[in-house]
Amino acid sequence: MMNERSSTVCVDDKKLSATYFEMIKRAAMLIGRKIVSCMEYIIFTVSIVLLWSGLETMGYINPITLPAPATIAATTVSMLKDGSLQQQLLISIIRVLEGYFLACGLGIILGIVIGLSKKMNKMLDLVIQILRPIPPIGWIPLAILWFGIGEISKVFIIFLGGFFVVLINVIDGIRQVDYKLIEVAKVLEIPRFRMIATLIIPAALPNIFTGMRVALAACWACVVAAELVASSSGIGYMIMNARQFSMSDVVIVGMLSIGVIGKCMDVALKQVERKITRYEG
Amino acid sequence: MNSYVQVNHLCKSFGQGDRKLQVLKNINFTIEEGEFVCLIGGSGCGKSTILRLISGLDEEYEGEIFVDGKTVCGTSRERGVIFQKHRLFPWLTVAENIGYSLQHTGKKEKYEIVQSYIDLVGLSGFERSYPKQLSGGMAQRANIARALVNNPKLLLLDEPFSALDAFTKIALQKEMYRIKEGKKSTMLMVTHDIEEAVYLADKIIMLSPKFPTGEKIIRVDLPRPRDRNSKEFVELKKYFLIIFSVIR
Repeated sequence: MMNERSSTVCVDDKKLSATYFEMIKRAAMLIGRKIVSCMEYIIFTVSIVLLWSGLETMGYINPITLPAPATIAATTVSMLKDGSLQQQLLISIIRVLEGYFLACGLGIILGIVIGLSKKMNKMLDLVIQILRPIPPIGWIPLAILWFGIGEISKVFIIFLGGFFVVLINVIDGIRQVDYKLIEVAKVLEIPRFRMIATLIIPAALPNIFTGMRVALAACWACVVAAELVASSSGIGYMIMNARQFSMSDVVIVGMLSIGVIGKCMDVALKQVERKITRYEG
Repeated sequence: MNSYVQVNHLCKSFGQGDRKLQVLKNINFTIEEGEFVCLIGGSGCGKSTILRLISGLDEEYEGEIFVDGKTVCGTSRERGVIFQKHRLFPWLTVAENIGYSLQHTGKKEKYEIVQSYIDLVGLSGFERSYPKQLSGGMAQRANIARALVNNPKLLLLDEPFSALDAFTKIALQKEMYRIKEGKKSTMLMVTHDIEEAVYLADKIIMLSPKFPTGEKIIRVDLPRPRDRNSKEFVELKKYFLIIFSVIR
């Protein structure tokens, strides 16, 4: 009897330790997989930086035309310490956001109106199609004539960069709403206004978000262009100014900070989109 | 004398001029209140077109269509439609989809109505699911509930089970009849499945351009619930198959 009991306890112990072992193994595998996926994400970037550093130390690259990653990092740190980078970035971010929100607001409202009305679409199509291909940089001379060299002209250029992208995507989104779903609403006798608010706009949301994300990148492209031409502040001015003093490290810091901020904003927008379109998952 | 649905000399063509294609030629039939009628025919014979005309989604035709004594004019909640594919709104949950057309009801009342229809079609537990998370059969159940929620007197079904697997199909056919008996509504169903028509219908309207009047009406008087393997059932099925093989 005694023997039997002790043997079962022993088995239980073994089982217990086995399950613990299993759990640890599983956790380790999970962490391992996370690390691998993280490595996959950054490996290409890291190897570029390493190759760049290597070529630099071997003397294949002239540090005046293209400074080494270590130099750029050091410049970044010093610029962050004296606050000059944050200051210039903040000015540009505010300009971008002003122009971007203006572009999104007007683009979405006008896009919905044009998308819903065939007549409006027909009447405005020619103007939109002619104005759309003009690069926002081409507007700079007129913007300066109209609004001077103050904030307004820069915001105007940024607005133009985002506006048409949002507008075209919203119009397309509204027009591409599945007619079969509209038929359902017709059969259920849903009033027109309610149908627009609860069917057409939700159905067009994925397209609207695509437009908003593409427009954000376009707005960043425009802020630099606007600041390059007529400005005494902002990240574009900083780049232009550094070029005149041949401080290529500052130029690259400016470029990269735009890239990083742009990526962060895109990630944030993507999160919002995922929240809103969680039904897709 | 007055039938619930009356279709007289119905003609319909698509296109214009040389490209004009007549789909419906002089179609006549009636549906009594509480009847289950099936429209069968090969593809392209215009059966779905008839349904769209009665629903009011398509308003261009020649002839007369009366529902409840009135000429059909636009869509109406009195005439519910169940489409072939579920057509649920992907951004709404099952419960939100079903309650979509309930606009002027209180929150609590709406919840109760929606819940009762969810129970009716057997979707309890899936109220908060999105259409993407449902199987084809479950999505079609939600679709049926959405059409039923307004208590339509006439329900128009456009091949509602044709995209489902055989088992789900049989289960839903059974339930469709149970719902029809419970609601005492009139149903007109388009299908190309002869067995489905024989199982469900009180009256079968066969459509083919080869018939002299465009349609042929056959009453199905088999007792319910119908046994798909009974001699009469199989023979009736055979009869329809023969007609279709002759007119082909």
